[in-house]
Amino acid sequence: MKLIRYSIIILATLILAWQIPSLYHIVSDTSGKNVFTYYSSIEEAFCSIDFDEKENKLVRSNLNNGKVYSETDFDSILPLFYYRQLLSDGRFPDSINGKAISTKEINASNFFYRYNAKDKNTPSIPIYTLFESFSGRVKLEMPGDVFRITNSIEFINPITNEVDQEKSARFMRVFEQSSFVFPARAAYGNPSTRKPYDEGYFIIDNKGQIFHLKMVNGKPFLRNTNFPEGINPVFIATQEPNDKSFYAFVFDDKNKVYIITTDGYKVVQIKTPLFDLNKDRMMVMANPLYWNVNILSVRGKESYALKASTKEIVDSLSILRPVEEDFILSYVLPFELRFKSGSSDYIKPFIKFAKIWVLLINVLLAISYGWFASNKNGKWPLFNTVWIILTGLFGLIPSIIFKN
Amino acid sequence: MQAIVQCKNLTHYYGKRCIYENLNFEIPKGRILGLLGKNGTGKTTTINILNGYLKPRSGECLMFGENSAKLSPETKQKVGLLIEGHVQYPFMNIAEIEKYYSAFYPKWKKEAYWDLMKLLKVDPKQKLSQMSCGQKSQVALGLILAQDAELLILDDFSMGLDPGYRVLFVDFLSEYARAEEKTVFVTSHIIQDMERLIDDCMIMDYGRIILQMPVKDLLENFRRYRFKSKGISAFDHLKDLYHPVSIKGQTEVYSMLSKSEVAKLLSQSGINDIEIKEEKLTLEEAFIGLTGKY
Amino acid sequence: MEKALLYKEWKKTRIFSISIALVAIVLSAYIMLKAGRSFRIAGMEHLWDVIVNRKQFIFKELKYFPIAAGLCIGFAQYFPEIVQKRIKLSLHLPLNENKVVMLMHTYGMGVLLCVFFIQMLAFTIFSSIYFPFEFMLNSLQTIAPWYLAGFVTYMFVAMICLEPVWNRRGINSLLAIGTIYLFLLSGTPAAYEHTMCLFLIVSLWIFPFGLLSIKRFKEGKQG
Repeated sequence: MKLIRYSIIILATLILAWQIPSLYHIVSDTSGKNVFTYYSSIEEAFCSIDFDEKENKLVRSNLNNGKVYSETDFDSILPLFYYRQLLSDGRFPDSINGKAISTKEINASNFFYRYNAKDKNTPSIPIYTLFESFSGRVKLEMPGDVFRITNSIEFINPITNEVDQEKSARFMRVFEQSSFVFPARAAYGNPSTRKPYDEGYFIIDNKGQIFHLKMVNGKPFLRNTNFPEGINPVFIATQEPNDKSFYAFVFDDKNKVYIITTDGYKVVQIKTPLFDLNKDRMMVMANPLYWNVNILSVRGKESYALKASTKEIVDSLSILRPVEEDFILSYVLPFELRFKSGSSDYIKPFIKFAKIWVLLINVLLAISYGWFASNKNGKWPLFNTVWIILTGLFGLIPSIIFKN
Repeated sequence: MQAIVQCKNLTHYYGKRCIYENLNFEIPKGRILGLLGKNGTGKTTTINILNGYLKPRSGECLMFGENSAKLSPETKQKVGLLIEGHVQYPFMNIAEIEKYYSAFYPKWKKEAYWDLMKLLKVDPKQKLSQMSCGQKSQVALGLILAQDAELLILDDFSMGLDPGYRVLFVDFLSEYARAEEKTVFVTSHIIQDMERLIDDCMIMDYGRIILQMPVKDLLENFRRYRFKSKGISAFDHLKDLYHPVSIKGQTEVYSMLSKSEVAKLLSQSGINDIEIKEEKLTLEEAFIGLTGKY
Repeated sequence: MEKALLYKEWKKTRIFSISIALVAIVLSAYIMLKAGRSFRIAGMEHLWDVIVNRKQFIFKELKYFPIAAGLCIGFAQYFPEIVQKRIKLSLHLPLNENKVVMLMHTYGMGVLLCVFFIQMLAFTIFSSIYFPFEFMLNSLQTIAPWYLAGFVTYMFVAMICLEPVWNRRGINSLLAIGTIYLFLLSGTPAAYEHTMCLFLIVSLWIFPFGLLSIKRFKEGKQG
């Protein structure tokens, strides 16, 4: 019976360790400031739009020299970002830093890519839609089948739920002729008809090689990208950018980011500030001259400006969030238990420990509990005191409630 | 005489309210023992402790030598229990409930149950939920009779029964218990029923047991005496005279003593030359005499 | 003896047990018919696309059924036992008291298991006819925590009903709500994929909790 009582106390402790901090967050949380930053091709410096809480207005400034701009002036120092506004005002320049740039070029090279750790950490059904990449039609059409790739590649017809033996064999033959090693780890594509063109899938095989699969005129197209050995890819975000300059972002197990270019699958590293692909968010805002690579993490926002042509770092920026120490979360509650996270769709326990000093409070609570209990029952409650030392307030409450 | 149940030093409190301290009693084998007490004296508490549905603050209750809170299945087989209100399963009919309980008791005596059911004139398929309280009491009784238990504990068996069923219940039970030499422990708030049934009585007052003795002995010896006196202060302190009351000079006391012994006691207290009237009592009157009217 | 006790549980709850089974069948049929309607209207290819790429779950109406079933069978079984403290009858049977409670639990869990199993089987067969096995696996991973929540609900209902003290019943209810909520945290299909074992352990952890209530009942706890 004692064991059952202890089991109840343990369960109640876990529920409290989950619910008390979560309730506390509901009443105490404030939103973190999110500052828009963009590397100005005119000023050659990071510029920002920040909200001034005292003045209750947006402040646009050059972060390098602190110069403040009006809204229209700000448009002109970020012409590659605000080109539509400039065009409609008739203010779009003929050249930027002595280089002629057309809006067509901007349209082609500008893109936004957002990576959230959730993109990777999400349960998915390993069934993929392979479009016809060369249909001759402007609009992409659903192909009428899907494929699975594990120990072989199989196409399935959704209407009959049967494997299309002929097509599967046709594709399988190509895989067998290549150096692809089954079973495949995962396939990454962009299964949407709302994109300008289709580049199919990038598939990681069992050896960590990356293969490019697409369907051209109904025929399989499979290429080994000859991804450098020594880099272990764990996630791929296939892109179909307007300028067709690259295929995909590749993330490796060392939190490094690469792109596979359309230039013979050449791999180029995209340097990022300190990045954890299982926790952080990344945003790439590209224009013909510079790529802004932003990492949003618990530390705050850190950015690199890369030269678009060479991907070299030209400038960096960090807007770090001051580390706020919450008294309750650091010194009263010994830890926080969560099952959901902003960086994963999976439900699993996450524990965040408070400062080590919280143990002092725990010991104090444990001794007081033990003293009261032993005064009443004449026996020192060993389990409860140990448990309270470990779990503090969370263990104390059920120890009091479930005393018999 | 061998005791089937021994309660030793029972002490119980509800919160800070003391029910009793160091209560001791035994239930002798082969006797029908009735527990009598006013409301709130701890009858139900005692029954609950006896049945293992209440842990006393201290002390213990042994049933066939086992602690009543942790009876082994073998011992539970030997104890028949009638819960207050003749509680049984309303969703079963009388045939199903008989079949259900028969699986648990190897010595099951079907006939004992069905003999009683015949008297009820109910259909074997009739559900208990559609029966009257009296009929249900007979079902509950029939079940513990069929169980062939050595010890029967009946908690307030007369609750909710009309006189006919009460008599039927008492007659059936007493006949059965005497014929089979069963030990029975009963409580009831209707003392008339008890008089027909029980061999021994145990009378409880707040926090203690006043007496436990055969009913026959009690009714033979316990008397009411009436006489004239000015108040009761002269003999109020005498412990052999129970609950003296005087109304306008008319005084009554209860006692186990004989008339001459009472007269002697009174004269020692300075009350002489009085005419003492001696009255025999029913069990109910004796109970009131022992516990007081208030 | 064990058989007789299970028979009694069946007599007591058969209307509820049968109703749960019927509701399970009707609900499953409804979900399948509704899926069938989507097949016709949206077309299979579109539906598959929505399921894979937009993470829509076509059996989501099932979510609260196991909890409702657990509540229903739990109350059907244990509520009549606390009216007039009828549980005393079972505890007085010549069986170990914990065994009596465990047998009662076994009955309730058995009913739930049967209903859930049949339902799961129906969905598995349905899925395997219309979808590739990857969908089926994903569906089972999505539904499994809901079913576990049903069992957990049932065990907590037993614990709460058998508990003699009202205050403690309230606290146990809060604990129950917190624990059951754990199984319903996500709307993403198969979100419990990696932690199923952990949640299975939590469910098993709760199984004996009713025994403490019985012990407290036997001690005559009143507050």
